[in-house]
Amino acid sequence: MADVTSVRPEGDLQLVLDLSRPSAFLPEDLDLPLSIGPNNVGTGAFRRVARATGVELERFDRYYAGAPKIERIVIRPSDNLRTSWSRLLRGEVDMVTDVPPEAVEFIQNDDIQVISFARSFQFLIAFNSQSPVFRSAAVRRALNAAVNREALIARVLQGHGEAASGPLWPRHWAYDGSAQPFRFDPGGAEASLELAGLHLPATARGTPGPPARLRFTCLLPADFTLLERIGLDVQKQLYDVGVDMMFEVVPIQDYDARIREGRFQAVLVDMISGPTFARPHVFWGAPRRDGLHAFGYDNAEAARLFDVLRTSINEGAVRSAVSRLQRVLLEDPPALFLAWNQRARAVRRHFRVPTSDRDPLFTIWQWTENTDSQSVSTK
Amino acid sequence: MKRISTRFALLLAAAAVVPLLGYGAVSLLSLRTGAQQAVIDGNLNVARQVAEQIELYVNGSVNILKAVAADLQQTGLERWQQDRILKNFVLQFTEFKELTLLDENGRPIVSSRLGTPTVAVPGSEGVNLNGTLISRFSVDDDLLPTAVIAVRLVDRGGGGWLVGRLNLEAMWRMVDRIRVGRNGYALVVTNEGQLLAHGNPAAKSLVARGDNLSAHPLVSRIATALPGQQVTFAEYGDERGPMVGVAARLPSLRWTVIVEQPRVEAFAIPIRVQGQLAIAIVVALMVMLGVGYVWGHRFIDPILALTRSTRALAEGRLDERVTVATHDELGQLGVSFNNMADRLVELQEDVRKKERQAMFGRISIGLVHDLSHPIQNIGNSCKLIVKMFDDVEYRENFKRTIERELAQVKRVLDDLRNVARPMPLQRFPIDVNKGLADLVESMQTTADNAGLQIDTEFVLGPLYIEGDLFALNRVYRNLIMNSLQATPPRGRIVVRTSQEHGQAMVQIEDTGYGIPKERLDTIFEDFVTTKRRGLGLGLAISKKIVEQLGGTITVSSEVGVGSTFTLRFPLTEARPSRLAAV
Repeated sequence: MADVTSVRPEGDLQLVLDLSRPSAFLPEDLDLPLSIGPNNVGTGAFRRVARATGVELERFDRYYAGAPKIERIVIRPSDNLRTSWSRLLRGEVDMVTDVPPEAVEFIQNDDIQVISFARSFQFLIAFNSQSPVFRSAAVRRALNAAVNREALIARVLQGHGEAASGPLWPRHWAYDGSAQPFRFDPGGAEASLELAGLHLPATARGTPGPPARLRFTCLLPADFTLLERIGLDVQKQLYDVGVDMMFEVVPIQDYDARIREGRFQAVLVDMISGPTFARPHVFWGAPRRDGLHAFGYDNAEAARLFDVLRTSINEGAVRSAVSRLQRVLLEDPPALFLAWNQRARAVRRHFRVPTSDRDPLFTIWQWTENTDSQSVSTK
Repeated sequence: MKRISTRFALLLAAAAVVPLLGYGAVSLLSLRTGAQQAVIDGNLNVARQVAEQIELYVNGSVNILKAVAADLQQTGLERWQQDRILKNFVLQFTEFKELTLLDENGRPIVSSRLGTPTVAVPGSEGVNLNGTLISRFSVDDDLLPTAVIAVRLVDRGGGGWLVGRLNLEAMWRMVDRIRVGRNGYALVVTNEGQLLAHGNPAAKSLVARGDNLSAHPLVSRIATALPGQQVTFAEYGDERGPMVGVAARLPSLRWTVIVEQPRVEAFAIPIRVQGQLAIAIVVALMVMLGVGYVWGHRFIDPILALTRSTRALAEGRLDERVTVATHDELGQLGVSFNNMADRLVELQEDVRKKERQAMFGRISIGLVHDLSHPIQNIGNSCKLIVKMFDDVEYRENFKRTIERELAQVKRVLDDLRNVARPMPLQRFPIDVNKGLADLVESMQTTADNAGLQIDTEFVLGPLYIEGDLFALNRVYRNLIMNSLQATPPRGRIVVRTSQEHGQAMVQIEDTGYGIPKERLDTIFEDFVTTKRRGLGLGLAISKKIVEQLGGTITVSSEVGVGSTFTLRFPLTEARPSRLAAV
């Protein structure tokens, strides 16, 4: 929010932000997590009132769009998904925020509805641009060409995903559909790697792994079954072009810390990348800051185009910049982009959730009691 | 009397209805038993096929594991090559979530897992399937059912285990696909009662919760079955109502596949066919009864008509005729009956005609007899009065004679009038004894003149009845006069009163000639008399008066011995107003 010069209230429900220049990313910047002051000041439909074993939220009656029907929300963390699902099936909680594709059928029943939605998150293997093995854009392009995303989505995501070729959200209004995505071309990938001087040795003598023209280690958080399954599939596909992607599985806390500190060669992440361009800008275009832009991607043209997007105030300029940015990122990919994912949330049918393609969490203030269903606890 | 229609209905029931009902009951029972057994057999086949498929699936997975084990044994592969093999197999055979090679001590050597391996060699709680150890079923973090399978390796470098985590989701889907009818599902239960899979989407949470179905009626029956006893079927009730369950065992895994279905749905076809057959039998029964009713009526109606007409004839309705349209024996019987009725009418007309003539003769003779003497006396007296008009004594005698004979004529005419129109009676409490005593006293002279003795034997105390003193005196007079006239000189007449069963009884007994037995029944009829003279109206009028007063009059008589007339009147609590005032 560097463009913000001042903030002043106008009435009870309005803040006026003065900007030094046009700032297209401001709305999404405002959506970024903000530290909440001692008086629990917030702008949403709910506000936090307690934080003992979990977060507890209560209805904010002066929410600008109308007071929610739900009075109180108790957020209970679980050690693992199984625990939270068991709680849901036992009727102890009313919602579980994450249902993997393979469990949708199992969770869904007369009492529980599973709501799927396309989310602006994608699975990707981010390269540490500071690592010598990824300095070459040709190598990064070859790695992107070596992966069959459709097969990955079918095998691992049970078809619940869309192939990703870059960090920009394909459903953004300015997205240029004519830009050619990465094509699965293992032969071309091998040729490119050869051209880049990465030859496949005849034997693997003296190495702990198979013979490889390129070997790198990918960071993976422990106990994330889906990420592990994706990693295994991508590992197999890269192996087919002579690339040995090894994995280092670390606890989630270490995983986060090492990403922040840049102590990795590559990392498999489930990363937010939309729905506007503010998030890609933060990770791939903004100047490096603590916790953000951890991957060190440095492309002057990309940075310039992100800046154009940030300050553009007309549709044509935005479309033009997006189109050029897509091509720059395809030419110089900062990561091995895999798939935009979908997420499903399980909600007890005690609640009537508005029908939309949005995340049910965004519409929770509109939920009403489903009087046709049996009454259950509201947690 | 048992009516012919009842007999006919019983005949119809015995000949047709009972056999039909018996046939229907046997058919329904056979149909029900057979059809239900067919449904049970069908469901059991489904359960067996599911069991077979599960066994094939598990055996297939075991074979895959053995094939991987074969690739790893005595092939001199590097660790990374073994690692690659395991990872490739896991990617290729998604039923395995993890494959890990363990050394003799259970330490991981290589694994398909990118993280820490999670499997271990199953302990004794599992199943040994031809040397392959299979752990108990469990639900993993993704809420999917898994089991750990371990294959023993034999290598030059020592033994070890290839352990895989088998994803049983395919078994779930297999069970999910089983749908018997609309609400029939399959479920898989372990020997310990743990629910492994449930085809009902609403019941999947039971699997996730790790529910134990040991208390399930069919599971518990299987668990408590005697050795050699095979339990494959049970009917029981749960929250969905009466259920039908069949079970097929997987001996190798010690699992049981149950297919259960609501009873009303499972046996819907037998129940429907049973209902249709029952309706058909009822319709057949109704048709049979209807036909029997119509046909029976056509048969019985002429008989009933003849019965009605016969009864009508017996009741005197001689104009009744029977209409029988059939041309069989019953028709002929009807014609004969009508002919007989016509003849009866003719005969009755003849009898009536003769009776009328006889009665007219009797009345004429009676009138001639009763009136000729007074008329003769009056005539003679009139002739004499002309000559003896100056004789004062004769004129007095003439006057008495004329008055007496006119009174006699008047009595005859009164009797005739009373026969035609009974005189009105005025009822009030009277003492029977007193009335009789007064009358007997007044007739004593007449008896003496006839050389007869009249005795009275009255019960002690008054006998009050509701009566008309004048009318009763006439009755008593008639009866006593009849006795006087029917008793030869030196005979005896006893007038007796008594009280019997709340009634006052009066008996007039004589030692007269008696009445012939064949005339006893008609002596109370009009114009019937045993005397040589008179109209014969006395007893008829007496009977009418007695019955008007609520009493009865009977007679017993023996020719040559005498007659006894008995009158009975209901006693009354009322008393003459004169006494009541006292």
